[in-house]
Amino acid sequence: MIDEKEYIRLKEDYERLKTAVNELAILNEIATTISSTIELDKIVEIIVKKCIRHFNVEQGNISLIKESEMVKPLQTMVREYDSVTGQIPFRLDQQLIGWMLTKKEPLIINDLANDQRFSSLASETSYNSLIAVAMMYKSKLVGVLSLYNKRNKEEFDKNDLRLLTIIATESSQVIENARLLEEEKDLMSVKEELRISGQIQKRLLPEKLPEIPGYQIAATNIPAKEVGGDYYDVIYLSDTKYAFCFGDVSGKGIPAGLLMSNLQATMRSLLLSQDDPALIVKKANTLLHASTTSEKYITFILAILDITENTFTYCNAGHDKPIHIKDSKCEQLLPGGIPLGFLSDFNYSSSSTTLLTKDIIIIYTDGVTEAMNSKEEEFGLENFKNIICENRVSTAPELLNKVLNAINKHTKGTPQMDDITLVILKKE
Amino acid sequence: MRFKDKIKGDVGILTLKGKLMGMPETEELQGEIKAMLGQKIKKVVLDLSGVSWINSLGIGAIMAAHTTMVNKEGKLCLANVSEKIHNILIITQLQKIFCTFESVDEAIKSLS
Repeated sequence: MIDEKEYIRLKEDYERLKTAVNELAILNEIATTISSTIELDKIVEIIVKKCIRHFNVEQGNISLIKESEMVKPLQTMVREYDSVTGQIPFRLDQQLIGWMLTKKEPLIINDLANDQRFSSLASETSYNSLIAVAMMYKSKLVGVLSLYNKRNKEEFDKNDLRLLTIIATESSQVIENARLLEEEKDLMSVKEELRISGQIQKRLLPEKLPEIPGYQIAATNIPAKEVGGDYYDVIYLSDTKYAFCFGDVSGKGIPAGLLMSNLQATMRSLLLSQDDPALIVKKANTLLHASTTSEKYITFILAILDITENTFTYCNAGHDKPIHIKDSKCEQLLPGGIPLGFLSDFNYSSSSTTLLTKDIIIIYTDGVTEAMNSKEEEFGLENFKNIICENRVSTAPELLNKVLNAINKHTKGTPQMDDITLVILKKE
Repeated sequence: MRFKDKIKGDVGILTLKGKLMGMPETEELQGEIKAMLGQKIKKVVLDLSGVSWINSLGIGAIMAAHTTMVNKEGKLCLANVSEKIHNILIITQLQKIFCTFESVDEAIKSLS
């Protein structure tokens, strides 16, 4: 026979074991289900749903937090929010997170109306009890797991707290991993977008240069980033006239790329109706000024080559002065005004030069002259001029290669800071 | 980039120190210029003696500051322009837009 004392002890043991089995069961359930998914939202939902059922509460919630060492706790961002059976009022959730950020300790409240810390909120909500634990990963708060209103007027107790703490600890790493995976995915898509923009922009540059009777042309663009800000175009206008467009947009990346494609479209349409470089540049300047902010600008050169007169008529809007090799003398072309986009109206001036046999014109961006080596020494304009002069008998494509080789020899693999763009025109 | 501002009579003097080569500096400089305009200062000298490095974005920043001043019928001058900045102003032809001076005092004198 079992006496009453023994019976009570056995019953207590049985209850303890039953609780332990239940606890292990929910832990096991959570562990197996969250390991079957890598989606953050799903993981959060599973944990919350399992907790609501097991703890017999009305509502459950996980607020994910990105606590950065760089920002003050008050500026900490709550990134995601998941709740089952209705939304947790924003102020209560915020206050709970604020509390967790400073204390990082578990919290049990069974009488919210009379709790000094949160009493101000009790009147505006229908909550009477809550339990909340911090989700920590590598000693940083990654989230807060909270449950509200125990059913059947029961109260949260130490056992609830112990189990919820275990759940929070077990889940933190899974959640953090899923969050990092999401961040990586976002980063990958940004990179992909950049790559695509770079490709689109590369397509804006001429794939093949037109053949100009009696002349050789060679051109290249080597962007420093995925999306560069340099632009060149050689456009056939008529059997006797060709336009050369050459520009450097301030800044890099997608904003510079967008401005560049804007410029290309503007140029192509303006060149349909007129061929005075200064007038076209003046109009392009006004148009660009209207569509850009005041710190954005483009240094630009527009030139018209007339192959019957052999004249090169150009307007230089604030760009590096092109180099002109004439009878073995190395000269620079004249300026024509300020960069595009700064002032709404500006009167530009054109200049003209006659091209003789073996004359060379080189238009370039400062990425060439300012290409740096590891000692931060620039390639330099004088050096650049000397190389061109020494190799003036070469064909245009050969000369381009020699210049690029000289730049590579100077930089010796030092990462390129700026786009390198060159257009070489040589009269045969 | 660090800024120091001083007001002499009706002329504001903004001293720039550090690198002038990106978006944060552009916005900071805009903020300083707007603060000057907020104090009804419509003549500003940018003292560039402490600018150690400048690129195309930096030139854009100075130009944007100039535009903000001119739009409010103000004037902006540059003082203590380094050789590097001077060269950029020549290449870009922006010396036609900016009045530049050897010293802050000369700039103030011309504005007064």
